[in-house]
Amino acid sequence: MTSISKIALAALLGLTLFSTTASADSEKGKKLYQKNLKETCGITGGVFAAKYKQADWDKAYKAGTLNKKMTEACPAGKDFFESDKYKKIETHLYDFVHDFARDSGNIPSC
Amino acid sequence: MKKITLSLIAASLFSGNLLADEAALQAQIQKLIQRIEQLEQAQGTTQQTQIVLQENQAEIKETQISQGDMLSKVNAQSANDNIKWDIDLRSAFHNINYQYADDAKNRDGSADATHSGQKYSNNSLFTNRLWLGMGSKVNDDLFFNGQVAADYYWGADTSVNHSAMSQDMGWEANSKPHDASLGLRQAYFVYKFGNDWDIPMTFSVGRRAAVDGFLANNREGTQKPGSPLAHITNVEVDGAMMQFNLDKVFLPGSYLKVVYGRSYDTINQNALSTVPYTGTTFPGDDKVDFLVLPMSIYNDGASNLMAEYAMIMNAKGDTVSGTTYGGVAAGTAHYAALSYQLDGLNEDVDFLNDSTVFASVAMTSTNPDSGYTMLGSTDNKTGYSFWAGVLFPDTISDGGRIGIEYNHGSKYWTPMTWAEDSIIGSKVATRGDAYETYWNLPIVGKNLTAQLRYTYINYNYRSSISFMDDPSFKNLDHSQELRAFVRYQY
Repeated sequence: MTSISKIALAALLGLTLFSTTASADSEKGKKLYQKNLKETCGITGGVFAAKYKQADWDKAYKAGTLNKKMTEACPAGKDFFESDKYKKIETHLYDFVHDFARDSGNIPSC
Repeated sequence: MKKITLSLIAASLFSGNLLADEAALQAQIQKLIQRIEQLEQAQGTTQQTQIVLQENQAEIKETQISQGDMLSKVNAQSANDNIKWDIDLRSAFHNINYQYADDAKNRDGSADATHSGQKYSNNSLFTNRLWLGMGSKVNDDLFFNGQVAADYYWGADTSVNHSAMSQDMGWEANSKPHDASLGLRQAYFVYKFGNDWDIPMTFSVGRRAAVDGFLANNREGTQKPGSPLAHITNVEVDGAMMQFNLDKVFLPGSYLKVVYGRSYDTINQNALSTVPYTGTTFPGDDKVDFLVLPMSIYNDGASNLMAEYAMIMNAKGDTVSGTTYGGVAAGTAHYAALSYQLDGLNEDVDFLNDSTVFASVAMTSTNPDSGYTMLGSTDNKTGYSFWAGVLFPDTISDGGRIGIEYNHGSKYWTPMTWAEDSIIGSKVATRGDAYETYWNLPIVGKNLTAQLRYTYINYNYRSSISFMDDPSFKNLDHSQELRAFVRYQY
């Protein structure tokens, strides 16, 4: 391995030290909705997220009541929103509903 | 005397009563005075409160007027500004090596004495790739997506005549007058209709995103794949697309896309011609059209099964005599693939829940017209390929994942993966075995990411994804690339 390759590798490894932020991902959240809730709620992820505005989702998330807000959007998913499984994936679901909220202005690709 | 005494007693009693009444009266007067003072103070406070309220009201009114003026300015400025932008900038380091076979052959089958056994490498190739994404949305059913792009190596020199030091030199390319080129990677609008029908549809025309499709997104560190199957399709295409959403009548997440477009056209662009934009620049170098049918068979968010059939008309080959070698419409090429990915292997174990496995099988087939050859043969030839991979958490970072992939391709395996993001050539198109491992690392969430990737390709047949080449004439023995990048997306 050449010295410049070693430097590049060392630089990348060094970056791991700065890896600080949790990596929630709206695309992952969308997949998790599809997997756990689409059939129960009977609506697509896009329709679910667009039930509320970004500020509404934000407020509920910060208040620790996102599961209740999601239950309002999908009453049939109440059991899931109160489960331990939900707690594990809440950040991904939040990222998804936030990014595709009614007033997000997000433009889907196709 | 007795009368006088009684009078005095009566008078003193009367005066005593008078004094007591006066004191009580004085106390009442004092209370009244205090009450009046209190009322006066209260009245003063009320007046002060009223003054403060009036001042506040005036301030609010001024603020409202100011905000109204600002809104008017914003409205005037953005009323016709209907594009939203996003940025994807990637800076990468590449270390690449090619090793020619000891008995390397030229394209015509003759011995390549110049390159046989030789090794070629570049220990420090740096590249920048910028994607400026555009989005415009009229409503939920009508929107546009676009992307302008620049992808170049540091110090790039595209000048034809190096000694002339033209304005193409990398260090001044965009600071000096030049040509009007701007790289367009994607530009298409989407129109959705029939949302209440059993089979809602979508129509789209433009320059489509057919790169980094299903499965290739893993090695690029991208969560969302493009819709084509990267096992047989990785190209930039211009065409029209009709999508049929089968979710309501078939399986969850299912859809079928029908894409028709043109990938190659050498019409005569000569401005001095009397009939420009007609004919072809070279005889026989006909237009190349394609039909692609990507289909999502099942997608429940964890299991994703996709299939694709594609056909290229007027695919380039050679004449039997070989006289027009270099590109002539020689026949038809067919492609098919079936790919599966499972996200989350076991919900009860975090490590497995964040892991992914995938596998894909594919085939390509050439069907040369009479008098022409494709892949060095006048006969139909079929190639096969297998692609598998696994991704799992790195366990030392939050969200970092390591991937390991393996590809195998047979002698006549020739997919259309010309735009695959590999400096040393498409690894998916390997006629032989390709091994790859990568580490995708989030640094600041999804906004700043990094990747370290190593690819090794061992060739059993010719390294080429051209129908004009005969796979029997092996050129390279193996090639490899080490890549590291940091990527900003927002």
